[in-house]
Amino acid sequence: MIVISPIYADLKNLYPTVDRREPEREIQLHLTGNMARYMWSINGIKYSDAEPLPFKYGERLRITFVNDTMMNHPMHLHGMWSEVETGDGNRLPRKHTVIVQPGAKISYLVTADAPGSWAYHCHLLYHMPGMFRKVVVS
Amino acid sequence: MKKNILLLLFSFTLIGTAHAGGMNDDPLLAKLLVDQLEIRAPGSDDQLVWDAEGWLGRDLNKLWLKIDGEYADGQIEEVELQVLYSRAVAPFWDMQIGWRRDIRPRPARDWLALGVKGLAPYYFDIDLALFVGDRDRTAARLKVGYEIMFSQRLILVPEIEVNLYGRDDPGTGIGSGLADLEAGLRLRYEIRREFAPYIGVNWLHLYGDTADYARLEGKDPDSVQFVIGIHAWL
Repeated sequence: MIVISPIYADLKNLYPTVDRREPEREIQLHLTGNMARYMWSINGIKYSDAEPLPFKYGERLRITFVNDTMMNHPMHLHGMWSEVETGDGNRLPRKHTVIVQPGAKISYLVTADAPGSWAYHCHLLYHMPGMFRKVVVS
Repeated sequence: MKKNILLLLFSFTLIGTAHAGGMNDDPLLAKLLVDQLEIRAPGSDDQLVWDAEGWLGRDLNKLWLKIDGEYADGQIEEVELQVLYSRAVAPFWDMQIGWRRDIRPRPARDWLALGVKGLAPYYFDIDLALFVGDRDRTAARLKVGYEIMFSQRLILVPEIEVNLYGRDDPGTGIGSGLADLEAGLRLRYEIRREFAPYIGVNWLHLYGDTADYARLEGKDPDSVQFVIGIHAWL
């Protein structure tokens, strides 16, 4: 499901979208944590307890974030572009880091064109240790 | 190419952080909080009262210390120390078990402490504990506090504390049943978050035999005092 965030709805790529395929697969990830205890995780599981997130090499996929916390989380996927869904599929802006607003949802498209292991994490330094996943493209 | 160089650079920073311990998602942390350190008036010229706590531990398990006391008339009148194991049992609640020692007044009393501490709905700070001592001594304590934030720096803190005891203890001047009720209202200004002077008023009322023991020692079982002090943590 496309979830357009108002903070990115006005962005438009100067160039046409390269990969026009519809996503074959959707991944929904919840951003979770406890602000009072300052514990952070994805889907309620912190990095050290989590399995890597597998991407199939060459696939087009949609990632939807659901922010269950009351803080912003700028999520950074290494190695591949995050093409934020703005409603205009022909001019999707490409970003390294996508901000997920408190209590909000956002979706973006990724072409898994970079084989290997990649970091995927919240870019706030104090959230990063727990709110982190290894992505394996194979 | 430029993107790859940036990624490479960033990977190095990540590795650097990992080696520095930054990627440890359950670090060993500590905090020392002097919730209240204050002088009170009217009363003894040199009355000093403190209430502090500290902890050391990780996300879910901590060693928790609580120490409060009172100095007046040139001597330490009251000191109570608690050494507790604190376990996070719910998102906003810790369960605490350990040892409480009333060091002053003499004779000292030892208790097994069992409590819950946390944040109740509508942001009430709660600390509820039961104590079991030797010779069938029992006690219970409830502390409730609330922070009314006039701004991010100016904060009004109403709080109450009530102590109940299972049996008389003439040695330490405690009577069975409801022993004391204390209510405070403190207005603090956070010059920095870690350092805040405050002024306020504190009301203490002793009940039952506890009040009688206090009268025998020439103390007033009902007192209202103005306070001035410091709230600080690191």
